[in-house]
Amino acid sequence: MSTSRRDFIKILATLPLASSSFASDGHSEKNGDLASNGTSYSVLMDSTLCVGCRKCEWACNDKNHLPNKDISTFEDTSVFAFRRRPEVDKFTVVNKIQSLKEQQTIKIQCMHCLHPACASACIVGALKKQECGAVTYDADKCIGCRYCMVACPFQIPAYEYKNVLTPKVQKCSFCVDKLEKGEKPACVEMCPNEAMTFGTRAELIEVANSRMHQHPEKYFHHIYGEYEAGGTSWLYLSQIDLRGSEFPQLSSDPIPKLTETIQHGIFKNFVPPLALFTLLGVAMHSLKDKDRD
Amino acid sequence: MKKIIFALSFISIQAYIYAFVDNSNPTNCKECHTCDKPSTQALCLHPCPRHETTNSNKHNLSEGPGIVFFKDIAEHFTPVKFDHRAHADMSSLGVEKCNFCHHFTPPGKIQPCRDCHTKNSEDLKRPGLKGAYHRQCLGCHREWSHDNKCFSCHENTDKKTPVDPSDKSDIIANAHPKIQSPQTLVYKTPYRKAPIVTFHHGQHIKSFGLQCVNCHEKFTCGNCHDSDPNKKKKRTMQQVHQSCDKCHRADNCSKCHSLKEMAPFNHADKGWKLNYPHSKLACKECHKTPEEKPKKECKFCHKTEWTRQNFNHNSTGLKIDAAHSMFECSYCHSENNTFKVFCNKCHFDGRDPKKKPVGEYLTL
Ligand code: SF4
Ligand code: SF4
Ligand code: SF4
Repeated sequence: MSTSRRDFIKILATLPLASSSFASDGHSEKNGDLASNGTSYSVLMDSTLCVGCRKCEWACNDKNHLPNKDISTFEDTSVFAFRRRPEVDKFTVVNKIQSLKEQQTIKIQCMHCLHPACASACIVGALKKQECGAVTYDADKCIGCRYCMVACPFQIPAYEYKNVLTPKVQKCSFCVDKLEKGEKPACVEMCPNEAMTFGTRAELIEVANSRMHQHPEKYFHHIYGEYEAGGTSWLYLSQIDLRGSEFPQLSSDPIPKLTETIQHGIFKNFVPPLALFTLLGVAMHSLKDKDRD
Repeated sequence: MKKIIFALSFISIQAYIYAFVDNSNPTNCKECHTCDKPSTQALCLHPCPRHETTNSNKHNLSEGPGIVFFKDIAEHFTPVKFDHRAHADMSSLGVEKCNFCHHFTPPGKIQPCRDCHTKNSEDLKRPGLKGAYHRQCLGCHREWSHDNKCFSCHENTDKKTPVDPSDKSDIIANAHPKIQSPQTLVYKTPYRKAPIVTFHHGQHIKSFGLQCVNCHEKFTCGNCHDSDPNKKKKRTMQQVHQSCDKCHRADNCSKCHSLKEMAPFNHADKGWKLNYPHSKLACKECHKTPEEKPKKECKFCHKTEWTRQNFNHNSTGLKIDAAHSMFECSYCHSENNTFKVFCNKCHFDGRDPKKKPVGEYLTL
């Protein structure tokens, strides 16, 4: 099933009609602006300063009313034995950097991409990049197709499979309500070592560069998220190359460009359903032939 | 006129600053300041002015405070009681000395951290107060304690969580990675008649139920972690004997000094070989004072009125068979000395439980 869906998308992508008529989609341009002007909010996570106390996990659970435990239980370092992923009831997790012998930790959550693949994959616009930098989710719009989960290069969105009646996609919201009030995200506020710095993206890139410049011995000279997947709002500094170790190796091209043009185009420019179904028919027919071969 | 006064005061200020600056090494303003014209209102310092020229104060260790409470940012945890003296004592460790923490001290009083590291710092390049405190402490503490426990320094404000019962003042036992405590130490002293002093360290801890701090008072990290071991202070005769004198009377040299290594203390030498469970006890559980000599009677320590019904004789290592268990205690034991056993009331062949084979239960 999933292969045929992918094949279908591939076929669509080859159609010159789709790419030419929808290339002027307004949404992607807006995201492009956000990326270039650098005034949206960002967080610089410096993993060399993270002490693995996991208090950010506690603060995130507390702020988002997720199932939480007593703050002292977060000192348990046995969780570092495995690489954990954010889940429906954990928007952020702190992991040990596996490739390092000594215990050095890194906090993971939604990267709040400048060109979020999740938002592009979402056919109903439930996920949206906000001016402030956050990629937010609107449960009322979500139809539960879970395309966002497939699209996200960081495997962030989690789905409430156990919630039968009103399942939602869950992920870090960048504490958008706090940002709008002029406050910092809960995890950033909590971090005792100030391993995370909150500011505008342009400022933080400058901060990151000056840290690498001042302590070249401490850092691998690369800001993860500056260009990856077209740039992300959460930026990372580390003593190792995070590309291909803690995070995927991604090109600087925004992942969603292709899917965005097609999907948003279809829905935004209101292609008549008939045209869509004809297209579908053609696509399915060709796939069927392929299967027979 | 005004201009002249201004010029004069400017010159005098310059002269004042000049006096503090070491001219052999000309100072480059840009090493510390980011702007061209720093003022007291706008110091525009680099985020971490860790440079020797930023430290013009030379203070004596004893001038520093003893205990400092860090309470400016206590939110989820209690304020930290910081033993400044103990840390200052370690200032001899690195090349940076006091500057390791006080990395920016212009002439005058020592700057408190919060003067530059404000609670809600706007300057993204400079850590706020919380970050500055934690980074400064955790930089070293994590390195040697290998944990991320907040409670090593803080106590929990949340009453639900039990307070860590460990004694925070016992740095060696609680905040330090486990130290392999030595069992026996043999010292060669200048006392010519009997130069060897054997100190059974392990036995002292076990027998007297001691904590490290009981003897290693005022022990700071610098005592062990000294970068220059030759610098070891010479101790006076009195200081050397101080720890031992507290319990051992100093008038009897041969108690500790001898010509060869001494064997550890053995209770049997005092005429009472201790068996299980008494062998497991710390001295003070029987000897409330060093002079106290308990009588060889159960009653002396045990307040329970033992009878043959409520006493489990097996715990002594001697199982009593059915035939013997009919007797009252006093039938075999003397009233005043429970350890004395009379078998010869019935048995005339000289048998005695003391002659039981070692390490085995003996059934009577
Ligand atoms: S609170 Fe800060 S130091 Fe602690 S684990 Fe999270 S990021 Fe790391
Ligand atoms: S990290 Fe994943 S979920 Fe977060 S914005 Fe990027 S694509 Fe979306
Ligand atoms: S930004 Fe908010 S939601 Fe995201 S990880 Fe931090 S506390 Fe959680």
